[in-house]
Amino acid sequence: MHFYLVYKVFAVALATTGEPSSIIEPTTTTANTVVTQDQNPNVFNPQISVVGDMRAVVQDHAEAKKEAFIREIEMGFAADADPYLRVEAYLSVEKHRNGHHDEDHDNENGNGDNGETRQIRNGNENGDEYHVEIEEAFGVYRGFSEGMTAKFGKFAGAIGRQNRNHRDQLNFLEYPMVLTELFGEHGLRAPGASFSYLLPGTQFNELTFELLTPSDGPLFHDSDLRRPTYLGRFRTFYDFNEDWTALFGVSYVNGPGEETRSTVFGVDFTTKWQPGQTGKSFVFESEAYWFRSGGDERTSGFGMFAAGTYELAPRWFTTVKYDFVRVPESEEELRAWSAALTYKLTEFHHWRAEFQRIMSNMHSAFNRLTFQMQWVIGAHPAHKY
Amino acid sequence: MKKIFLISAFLFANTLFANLNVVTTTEDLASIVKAIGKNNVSVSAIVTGARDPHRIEARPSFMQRVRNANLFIAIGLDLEIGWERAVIDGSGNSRVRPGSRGHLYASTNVPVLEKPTAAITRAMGDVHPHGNPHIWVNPYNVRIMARNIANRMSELDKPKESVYKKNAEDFITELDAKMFGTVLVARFGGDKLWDWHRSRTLQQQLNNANASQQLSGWSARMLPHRGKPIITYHRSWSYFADCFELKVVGELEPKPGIDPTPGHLNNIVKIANEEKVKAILIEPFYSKRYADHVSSQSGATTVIVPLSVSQDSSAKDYFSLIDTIVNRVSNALGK
Repeated sequence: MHFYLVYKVFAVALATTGEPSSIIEPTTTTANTVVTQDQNPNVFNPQISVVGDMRAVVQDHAEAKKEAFIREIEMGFAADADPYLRVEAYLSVEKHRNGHHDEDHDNENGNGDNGETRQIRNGNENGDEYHVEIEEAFGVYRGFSEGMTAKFGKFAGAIGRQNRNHRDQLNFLEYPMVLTELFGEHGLRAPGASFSYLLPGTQFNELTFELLTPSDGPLFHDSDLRRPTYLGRFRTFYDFNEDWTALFGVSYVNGPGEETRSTVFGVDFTTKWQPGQTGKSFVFESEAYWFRSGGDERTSGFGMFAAGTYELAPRWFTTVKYDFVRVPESEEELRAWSAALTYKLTEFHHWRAEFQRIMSNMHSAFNRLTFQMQWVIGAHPAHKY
Repeated sequence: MKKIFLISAFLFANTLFANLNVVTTTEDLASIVKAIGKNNVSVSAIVTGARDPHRIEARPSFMQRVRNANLFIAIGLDLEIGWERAVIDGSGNSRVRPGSRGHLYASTNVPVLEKPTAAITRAMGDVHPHGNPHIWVNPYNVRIMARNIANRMSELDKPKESVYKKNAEDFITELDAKMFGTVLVARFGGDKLWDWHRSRTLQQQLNNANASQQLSGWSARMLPHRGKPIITYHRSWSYFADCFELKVVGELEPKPGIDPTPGHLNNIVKIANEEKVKAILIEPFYSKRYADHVSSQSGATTVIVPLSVSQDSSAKDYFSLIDTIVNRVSNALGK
C-alpha cells in the first residue's frame, strides 16, 4: 500500500514536471565579444569534495586510550543529471567499533553497548576499524509546482536543524547527544521520500512530509515500505533586520520501534546576529525533543541541547554547549558541558579544541579534550544558514 | 517589526502589480534593473548593506523571495558560488534554475580580467577560475550588463520589449554622460568615446578634435591621477583601476580571501613607501586596522570606499556609487 502510494506520487511528479523550463542556448563567440562562462572538458563532471576530520583525544576515563586518529573522510558528489533531476551522494569512511553494526540490537539499549561505552566511543574508538558508509545518496526534483521539492533516496530526515547538517558543518565536534541517543550515531538518516512545500507569500514558511525506512536507530528501526516511519516538519524564518535573523521549527516523527511505534515531538530554534563586518557574529542553536519509545519499557523522556557560538575576532570562534538526554529504554540520563575554540584559517580549513565534561546518573563523570583539524578540498562548500 | 511588516506588505503589493518579479544578487544589479524596468518590475537584491558578497549565507528568506521570481540575475564568474545555488534550489522555483530563461549571469560577454591562464589551485587563495568577478566598478562593463538585462527582460515580457530596450539605452546614455560629460557624448556618441577610452587614445583623439576642454565627468575627475599607485584590501578594484588607469601595486590580503599576515603587511609597508602610495582602498565590511597599520607607517591614507550600491549612505544607485568612489579616490590621490 505504502509502496503503491510512493510509486503514484513519483509517477504524478514526473508527469507534472512536463517540459523542462525553456533552456537557453549556450553562449557563442561572436566578433568583438568575449565569452565569460567558458566551457572545459570537465564541465559535465560532478562537483566533488572531500572532507577530512583528524583528531587527537585525551580523556580521564580508565577504559579510554589517548590517541590520534582519522575520525572520518567524507566524499561528496553533486551534479544535475538532466533538466529535471539533481543528484547528490555522500560516502564516508569512518571509524567504527569492531562489530558495532552486528551488535546493534543485542542489548537493552538497542545501541550495542551501554551508555558509558557509547559515550567513550564518540571521542575515542578503541580497537576500531574503518567502515565505508553511504551517508546520503538522493535525487531531488524541483518545480512540479512553485515551491515544491521532492527528494528520493537515502537522506537526513528533516527533524530539527542539526540532523540535516553533515558533521563538518557543525559548530561543535559531534552531533548533539539527543540526536545520537534518539536516532543513532549519524542522526536520522534512512532511505525514503521527502516532499517539501514552500508556502506562498513574503514570509518563509515551509512544510515537509517524509516517509522513511530507518533500520537501526535506537527509537526507530525495522521500518520498511509496509511499516514506514512518518515525519512531518514546519519551519518558519524571520529577518528582524538585516543583521538579526531567526529560524523556528517543529517536527514530529512516528515509526516502528522494537515492540510498538515510537513517537518524537521536537522544537528547534536558531538565531543569528551577523552584522556583515568580518569578524563579528553570534549564533544560538537549540533543539528539544520529547519521545515515547516503542520498546518493552515504553519509556517517555526528554532531551535537548543549546549552543552559543561567538566570533571573538576574524576567524576565531568560541562555542559553549549544553546537552541533556534521557536514554530511551533505560533509566540513564546523560548530561554534558562543552567549550570549544575554533580557528578557521580559511573556509576550507580549521583547527578546533573542545573540552567536554560528560555526566551520567549511572556512571562516574569524566572529561575529554579533543583537538581537531578539519579540511575540505574540491568543490566550494555551500554557505547554509 | 512594524517597519519590516510594512516593507513586506509593500513588496508583496508591488509584486502583484509588476510585470516581472526580479531578484538580483547585488544592489548594483537591482539598480540597473530599476533603471530599465521602472514601474514595470518589482526588484529586490539579496546582498544589501555593507556585506561581502563572497560570504553571504543562504537565508531561507532569500529562498522565499526567489520562489516568486520570474527572473534571477547574478553577476556570475563564481562571485556568488557559496550561496547562489543553495538559494535557488531552496526556492523550489524551476523557472530560475541556471540554464533557464529566468536565470541570467549579467557578466555574459563582459571582458574579464585576471582570467587564469594556467592550472589553479587553492594554494593561490580563493581564486576565481573564470576571472575576477568584480566587474561592475568599470562603467563600460555596466553598459554590457544593462543590455544583457534588457534583452532578457524583453524575452520574458515581450509586450514591454521596446520600453525595456529604450530605458536601457537611456540608462547607457546617462552613464556615458556621467563618464565623459554631456557635451562630448552629444558630439561623438558614447560608443566612440568608449572605444577611444579603452584603446587609451581618448586624450589624443580629443586633442585632435580640439575637444579636450569639453571632457568632464568621472573621466575628467580621474584624469590627473592616471598611473598613480594604489593599494587595495582585496582584489576587487582591478576593473576600476583598469578603467581609470590606476596602478594596483599591492593588496593587504597576501592571497585572495586570505587574511593579512604580519610578514605580508611589512612587505606592503615597504611597497607603499617605495611607490609613494597615497591611497589604500578598503570596503566598509573589512576591518580597517590592517590598512591603518600600513597608513601609519607610510604616506598613504586609508580610504573606505563602497564596492556596491547601499554599502554607504551616499551610494544610493549605480551613478551615485561611482560618484562616491571617484570622489573619495580622487580626493585621496589629489593630496
